[in-house]
Amino acid sequence: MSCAEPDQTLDQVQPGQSCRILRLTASGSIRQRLLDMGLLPGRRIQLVRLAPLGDPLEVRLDAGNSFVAIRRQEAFHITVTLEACTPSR
Amino acid sequence: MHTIPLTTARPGDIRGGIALIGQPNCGKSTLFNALTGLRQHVANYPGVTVEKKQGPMHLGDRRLNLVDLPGTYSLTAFSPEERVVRSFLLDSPPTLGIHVLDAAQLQRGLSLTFQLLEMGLPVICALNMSDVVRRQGHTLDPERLAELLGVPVVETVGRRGQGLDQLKREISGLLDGGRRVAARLPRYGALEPHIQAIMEMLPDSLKNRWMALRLLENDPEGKPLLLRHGLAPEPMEALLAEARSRRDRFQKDHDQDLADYVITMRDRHAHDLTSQCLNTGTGGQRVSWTERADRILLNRWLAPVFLLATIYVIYHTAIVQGYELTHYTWPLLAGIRNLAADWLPAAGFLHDPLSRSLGLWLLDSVNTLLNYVPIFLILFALIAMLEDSGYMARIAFILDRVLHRFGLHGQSTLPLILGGVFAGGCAVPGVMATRAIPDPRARLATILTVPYMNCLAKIPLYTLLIGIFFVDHKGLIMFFIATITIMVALLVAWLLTRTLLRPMETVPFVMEMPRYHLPTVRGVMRRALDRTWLYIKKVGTIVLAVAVVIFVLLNLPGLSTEEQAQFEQRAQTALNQFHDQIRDNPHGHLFQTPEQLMQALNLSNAYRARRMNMGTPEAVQSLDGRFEQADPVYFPFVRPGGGDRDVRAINRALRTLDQERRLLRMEMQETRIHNSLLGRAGRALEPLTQAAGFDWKINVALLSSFAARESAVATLGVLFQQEEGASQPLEERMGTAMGSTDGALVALALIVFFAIYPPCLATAIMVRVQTDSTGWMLFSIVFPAALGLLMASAVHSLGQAFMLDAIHMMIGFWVLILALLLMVGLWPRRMVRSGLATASPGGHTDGSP
Ligand SMILES: Nc1nc2c(ncn2[C@@H]2O[C@H](COP(=O)(O)OP(=O)(O)OP(=O)(O)O)[C@@H](O)[C@H]2O)c(=O)[nH]1
Ligand SMILES: [Mg+2]
Repeated sequence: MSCAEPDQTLDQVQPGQSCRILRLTASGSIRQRLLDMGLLPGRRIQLVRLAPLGDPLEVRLDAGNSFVAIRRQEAFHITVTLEACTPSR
Repeated sequence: MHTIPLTTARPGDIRGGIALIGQPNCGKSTLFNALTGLRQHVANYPGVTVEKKQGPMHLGDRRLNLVDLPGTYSLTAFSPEERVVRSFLLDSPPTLGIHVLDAAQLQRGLSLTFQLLEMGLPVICALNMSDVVRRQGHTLDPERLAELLGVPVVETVGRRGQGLDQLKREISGLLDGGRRVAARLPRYGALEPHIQAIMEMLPDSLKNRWMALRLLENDPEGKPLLLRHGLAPEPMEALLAEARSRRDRFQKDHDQDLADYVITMRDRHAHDLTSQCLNTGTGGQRVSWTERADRILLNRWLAPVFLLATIYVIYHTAIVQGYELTHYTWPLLAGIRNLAADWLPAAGFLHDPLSRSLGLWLLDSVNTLLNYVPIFLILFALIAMLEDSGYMARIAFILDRVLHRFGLHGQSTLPLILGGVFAGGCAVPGVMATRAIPDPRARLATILTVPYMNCLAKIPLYTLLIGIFFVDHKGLIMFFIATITIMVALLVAWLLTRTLLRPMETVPFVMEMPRYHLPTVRGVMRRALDRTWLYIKKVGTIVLAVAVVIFVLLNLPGLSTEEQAQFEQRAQTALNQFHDQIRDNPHGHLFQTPEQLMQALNLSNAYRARRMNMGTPEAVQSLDGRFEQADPVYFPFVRPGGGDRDVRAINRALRTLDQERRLLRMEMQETRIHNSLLGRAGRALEPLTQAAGFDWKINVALLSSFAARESAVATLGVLFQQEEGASQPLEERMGTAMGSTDGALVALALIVFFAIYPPCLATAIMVRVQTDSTGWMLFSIVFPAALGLLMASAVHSLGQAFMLDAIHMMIGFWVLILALLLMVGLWPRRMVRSGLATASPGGHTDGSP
């Protein structure tokens, strides 16, 4: 969970961190749903916050205009690389 | 909603319809309402419209058919909404599609635009929510976008009706065949030759780039689709084989999934267009209003506080204040009943005309229902505000973790609130609201658990039992009831999800968080009224129909001849006694014939019924005046404590007679119920309910309350009647009848059973509608009945065996359920990460469309 370890799944990202989607490791309806919501390989996203109980996660995408909530279960299927290591609050 | 055929035959009309297409929550229904003047359900919550709705739209002298479609992000066939939209567009293509885009999320929406254009559908793009874009300090260039896409583009603000005129002009223009420019489609580079090859082989009605791409992408519904469009099996197999081999070749050559390639190309093109027509200004990234609000409202520590506060406000405003309001509305309803009682054929001494008893029975049933209307108006208005503001989606976000654990969904929150989690609600709108839950399995689990919530109609029975047995522990019992229901519901959801519902399709939780909007007064009022009206209509008709059935079941076959004779005999004795008492009275001649006597008795009853509604001495005085005027002869004998000695003597004798008459009628009714079909059923069930301590009377009350829960108290009232008017309230009567030590335990068992009781008939029918399956409806009735009886029996028998009093038993039971809940909730979860349900589209098992 640091810059030394750039490839991780979205559920390991810390709130406040930005990353770029590398690939989706799901298939079928999950994959389609993720793609539909704009979680495409190459997109830049930011993990905005966790729900009070730690799940689901809220992600910002589309250059700040859309926010998507996603369960850890599904976030696990999104492989990302950290953009910059902003200190998480 | 009106159902208008897609094609209208009048001259000047066009064939086909105009469809509103777009992603969830982009404002399609808002535009639909603005264009047709109809009232489609609108909410700031994705997935509100689930089926297509149509309505007429007038454009000059043209009458067009506008169709509102569910929101979709794309046209694959993975979700039910997508299937609805897709089959509509392919099988009965509209003349024209209005693609509604959320202008603030242009890039994402454009991918769907491309798919529509590739289908060959004439499209107008409505850039809705353009006010949001402006507020963000961005500018959009619709002309540029129109040029780039090759189709008309109109900026609109659906909520304020802006841009509608231009939208209508563009529609007319396209229909007149005026400015139709060739749409510019995205190009797919290395895939182009394959697209061309497949297109050659497609049947005419499907000869478009979209279909070719879907086949190349291995669309799971390609086969049935081609068959529907008249392709013979052989050429179809050849076509599919061709697509397969080309897909394999492409994927091997480019080392990439073909579907991914297509999506990426579309996205790249969308990005390209967006960057050319959207000017984000110089201010850079501004933190939006929504994000600022969420930093507080969704703060890890504050979020639960705000959530609890919201629920408390709903509870307090709708339930507590709403109940206050019913104190004002109830006299109104009671007044209507009194009017009807006057107007219907008069009562006899022992027997009433059927029209009277059935009429009043029906009116009482409807009144108990209408009594809740103020509460529902407030409740629905508050819920509409929650939905419209966008906070409802946040509630789903906060609670998903807990609910998901038990097989439910974040979006189960709204149905559970409507059903009455802690306070009181109604399962009918609760079950209705499950439509918005995208996950079929969680949706069914929610439908089956909403009826466990505390519906308002359960409260009178609770109040009654608390009043008799638990006066000192009122708060404790209410807490017990409120918490036990949600705990049991969660456990049931968990159990069902792991057993019966296990094989069902589930979809991932990926939910758009809508921007916050300020709810509009008009929108909120309209929705509250609409939903309340729907409630009255749905529940009202069912309650009426069922009330008739229950009336019959409670009254047939009636009294035997001996019983009849016995009652007649006792009535005669009472009458003789009355005549003896007034023999020497100077006013005695007024009470000689049976007609005279009935007039006096009916007057006395009518007076008493009205007097109960009067609060102030002045009101009583004016009531007296009115009665005096209406019946100057008999009223003096009816009014308590007035007139000279002779008048008072008659008044006393009349009252004795009246009491005797009521007692007789009550006993008759009890005998009748005892003999009745329902009474027999109640007695037949006694061996089964013995362990729970329910005798046949309670069984009858429970059976009749299946129709409408309110009637439980009414039926108990009749069955435990000793001497109404003898001022011994039902509480005491039941108390003495049930015995006080074991009685409390039976009462606790009854509370437990009633909390888990099956849905009332109206809800059961709603379950049938929402699940589209009679099997699930029957299950929703049988399972809770069995579970409730089991739990009630456990409570009663264990309490008896260990000689516990009701309160200790209750605490023990509560702790047990809580322990179970914690066990299930905290059980270490195996993260089944890879084995997630990869649902096969089309093969959904829930039976819902
Ligand atoms: N600011 C703004 N809000 C709008 C506009 N049009 C609609 N809304 C709001 O957006 C929300 C969603 O509107 P709906 O009409 O229910 O959206 P829909 O596309 O029918 O949604 P689904 O049926 O869920 O697919 C509501 O709260 C509307 O009041 C607009 O132009 N500007
Ligand atoms: Mg809608």
